[in-house]
Amino acid sequence: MLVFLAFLLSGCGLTPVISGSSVAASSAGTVSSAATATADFFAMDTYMSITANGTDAQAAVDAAQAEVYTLENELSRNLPASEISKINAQSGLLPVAVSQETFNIISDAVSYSEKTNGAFDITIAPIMDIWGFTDSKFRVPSASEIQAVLPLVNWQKIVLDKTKLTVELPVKGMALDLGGIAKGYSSDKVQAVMRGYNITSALISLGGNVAVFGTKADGALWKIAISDPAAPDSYIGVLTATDVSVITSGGYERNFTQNGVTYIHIMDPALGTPVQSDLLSVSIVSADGVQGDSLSTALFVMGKDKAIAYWQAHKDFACILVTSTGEVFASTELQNTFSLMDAKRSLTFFK
Amino acid sequence: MNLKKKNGTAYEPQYRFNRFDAAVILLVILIAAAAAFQLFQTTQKSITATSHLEAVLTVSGEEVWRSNLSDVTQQQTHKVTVSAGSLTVLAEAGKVRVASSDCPDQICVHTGWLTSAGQTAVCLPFKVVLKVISVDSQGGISTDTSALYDAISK
Repeated sequence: MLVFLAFLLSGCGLTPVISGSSVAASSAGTVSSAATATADFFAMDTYMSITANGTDAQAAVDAAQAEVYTLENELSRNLPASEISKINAQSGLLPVAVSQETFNIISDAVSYSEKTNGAFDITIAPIMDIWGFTDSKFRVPSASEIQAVLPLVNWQKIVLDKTKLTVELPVKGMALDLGGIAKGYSSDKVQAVMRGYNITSALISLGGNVAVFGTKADGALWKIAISDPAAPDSYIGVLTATDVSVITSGGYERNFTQNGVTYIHIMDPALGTPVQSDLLSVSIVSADGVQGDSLSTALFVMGKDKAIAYWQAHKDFACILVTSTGEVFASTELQNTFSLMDAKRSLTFFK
Repeated sequence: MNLKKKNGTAYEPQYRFNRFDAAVILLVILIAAAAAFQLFQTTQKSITATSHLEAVLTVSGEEVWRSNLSDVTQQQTHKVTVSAGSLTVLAEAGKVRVASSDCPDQICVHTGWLTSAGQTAVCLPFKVVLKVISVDSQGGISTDTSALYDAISK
């Protein structure tokens, strides 16, 4: 009996006490040796926050910030020296030689225009201009003004020469605006840069375009909230994830109101007017930030039924749609990872 | 039932309490006490290590104001002025917000109260960021495991 009890005790009593204390000591050691670094800064007309965990965390976030500035200088249409500005300045004149990177981004944008049948279109710039979204001098243009500019919006007219690495806008007045893809591309690029350092995880938010990789310091997955488009100080629900980008498009942050009508910044390329759809926001969950950024805009333009049909035809990303009546529709693969903040809200997972 | 009769053998268990049994029981009690103490200590440790929330206000990346939100008993306000206008922050127990701003879009004001670590109110035109962080007992930024989310996609 004594032998049996001694065995029982050593198995259940003593051992856990010893191992418990050793686990506590080793995890405390891990926490103190791991570093966390964050860079908060303004770039690309938005606020960015990049956090990394790991021994080279500071170097990783510094390199990430530098990469964002490099990309901004290359891709912004507001900076006269950028490659995009050079392309725009030569519209109707000459092809412009660009870096491999700029060429690749424009090619990606064109391929998403093709996939979405023009719902996403980087030649939307002249329409953004006449509505005042380029310089924040908002105004409602006349129908004739819109009709005059609309023929300039057509991604099919972009001439890309793969061997000479040139981009040409053949009609005078055409212009590129990479606003719908630059942050998604940047978040992919920033992740690639950061993975070159000795870090275990990162949380990247480029103006609300969120990307995560690895797990948090305590081993848990990241929790990414989806903003409530009807109430900016609240959120719809939370997604638990790692190694993805979560990119949301909606009209609730950039808009203006005139004579009681609110005009949002996402334009319908077919009409030249702000999108009027049955959706308030679209969030795309994807490992590919370029896909997430371009499709969040495109699916918003499409509206609920076409957006769901697009997902059904491709299924290489996940999405969360919030309708104008406040209902939430999410693709089926998010069933175990997305949960509502308010359980009373209507949530439908579609297949 | 009589066991002795059935198997035909003498079976008489000797349940005599001896000192070895006493030692075993003492040992059990000691170990239980040690385990309870260990649990108590761990719990205490996690209570003392509990982090608190701080509000941090930056203008163009420079920190201009900070407040421990768990120490706020009365309403606090802090006004910052940039070349294009002013912005006022309001702090109450456990929460903080941009109360007013001269900026054209008012997104920072509409963001409302910030109540958990990781939340931010951003004023793009003024390059002002109001942020809530979780600070541990050693003064380091900690991971707030009770935070409802780490980032917001918008």
